[in-house]
Amino acid sequence: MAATGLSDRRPRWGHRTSLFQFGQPAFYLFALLIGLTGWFTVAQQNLFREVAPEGWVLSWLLLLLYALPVFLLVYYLDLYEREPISLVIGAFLWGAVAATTLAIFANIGWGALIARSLDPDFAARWVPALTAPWTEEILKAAGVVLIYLIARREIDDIMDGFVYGALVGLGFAVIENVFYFIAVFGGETEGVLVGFFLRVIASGLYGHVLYTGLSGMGIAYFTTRRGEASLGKRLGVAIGLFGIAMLAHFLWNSPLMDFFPLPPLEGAEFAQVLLATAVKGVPFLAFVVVMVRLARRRENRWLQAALAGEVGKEGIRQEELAVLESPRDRRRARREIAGRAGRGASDLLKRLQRQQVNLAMVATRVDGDHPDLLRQRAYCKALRDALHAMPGTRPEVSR
Amino acid sequence: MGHPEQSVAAPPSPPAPKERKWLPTLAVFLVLAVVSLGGLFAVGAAEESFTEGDPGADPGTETRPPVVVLESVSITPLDGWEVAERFHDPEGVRLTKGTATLDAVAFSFQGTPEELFDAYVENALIPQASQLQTAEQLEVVHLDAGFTAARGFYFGVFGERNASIEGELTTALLPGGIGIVFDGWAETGSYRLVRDEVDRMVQSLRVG
Repeated sequence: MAATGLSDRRPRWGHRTSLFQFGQPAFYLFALLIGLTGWFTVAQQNLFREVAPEGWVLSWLLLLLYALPVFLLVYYLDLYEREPISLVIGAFLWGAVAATTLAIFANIGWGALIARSLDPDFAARWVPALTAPWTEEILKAAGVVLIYLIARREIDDIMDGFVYGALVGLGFAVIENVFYFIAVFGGETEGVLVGFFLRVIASGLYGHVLYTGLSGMGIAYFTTRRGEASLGKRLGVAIGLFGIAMLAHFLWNSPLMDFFPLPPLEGAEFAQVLLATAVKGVPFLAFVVVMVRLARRRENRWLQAALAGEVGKEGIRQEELAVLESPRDRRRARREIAGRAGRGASDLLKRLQRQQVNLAMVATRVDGDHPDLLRQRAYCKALRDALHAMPGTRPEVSR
Repeated sequence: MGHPEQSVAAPPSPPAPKERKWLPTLAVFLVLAVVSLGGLFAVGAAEESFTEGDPGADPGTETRPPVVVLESVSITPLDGWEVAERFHDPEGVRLTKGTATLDAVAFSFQGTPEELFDAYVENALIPQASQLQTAEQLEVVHLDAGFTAARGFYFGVFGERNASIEGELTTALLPGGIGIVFDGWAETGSYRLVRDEVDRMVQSLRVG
């Protein structure tokens, strides 16, 4: 889209909506399903804990090591408008609790139905590929749709769709992995560690986080491009991205391109597993990386558009905007100022940068000289003045 | 932050489209219901049509006759549970409902219910499982027929399909040196849907 178009249609970064929207029917459906399936999930985890207490604790510790960094990575991918924490947690819970539980019923039911109509040998190899990709992807994507219906204004670009989708996928992956570690890999320490290697170290980059992230992008494209793209195009993109997510899941579950060594694994076979997962996962990972980069570039253009009218006023200067646009440049600027003027100055610069991003949000929400905008400009100026009052912080251009 | 406001100079905005609230929520609900439960209903319907065509199918609970496990040892199936198979070495019966199964087998055994539990795990489950995890502590349950039983969960991966199974064993000792094992199982995650029914059928054990 052209830059002029971007400046005409501004993102709604200034809005913050929580999960608890009591006027939205979608909230009650979300809460009801989380409640019902939550009971089921807790009971299931209790069962795992009773049968394999040490393995269960180890599973959760290992998965925490995986999930926490991925959660933060996804959360901070959205450079300018971090999503409200209640919605982010809601998305994670949907994946962990509702989608996993409903997927159990779906996979058992549809799996049994499909298995009955196929040759038993063929069914044994293909049922996982013919059920889970569509059942699980639909159930996870439904969580992103519900989040959108609860807080429509919070999904205002495809990056937001990726964030919510990826977090739904992360929640799903965590609970599914506990299930695998205990019920499939045996729940003993050795089995849990082998499971962690196979399902997280070797495969963790490729699975549910990416699938649902991509589906979320499609949902966000459909919902945010009204007036910019025709219904047909929006629908086509949404279905296309969802289809690619399902296709990647299908390929992962199918016996196609299967270079996995037969268990039990020994020695170099562990390396072969890394290769086997890469063959199936890397092309899709590359595709998602490209999509995320495109979405970030678009958000970057939006930042420029949102602050175009602010540059030169007291809130932000041209050279500050140039730094603000790149996370790498922001970090470099903070490192440099920390070297010259210490940690306090670096913290203050970080605060100024965050408030300048907030200035962009306010600028997208109100027009002209609205009191909110005036207040935010003045706040940024006060922070800059305070920063420049610290010895060694004044930029060379101002000397 | 407050709600967005228009400045005086701004051109009037077109009226915002009316936000549909109920319709999309209802659509999501229907999709979730069809995807998550549609398969189970379809499997159930297929089985029902199969048993409707079977003149020997059992009627409802109240009128259903007990099913013999071993001579003079029987249980009463609940609605929806059908005899799928009979075993002869050891003697027993397999009841199924949808994707859930209850195997009841009886054989000569000397020992305690806990030892019977371990023996069944050792001789019946382990040989079929590529992975198996059983409860570390067994529950003591009292059957209506007056026997004390041991009960515990297990998880495992079974068969050529490598199906992930969860189940619950209930083991009791009957007069005459007979051990009886109830093995209720289903694919992991779905056993709890039938657990109460399995427990009730176990409680329906009658001897003599």
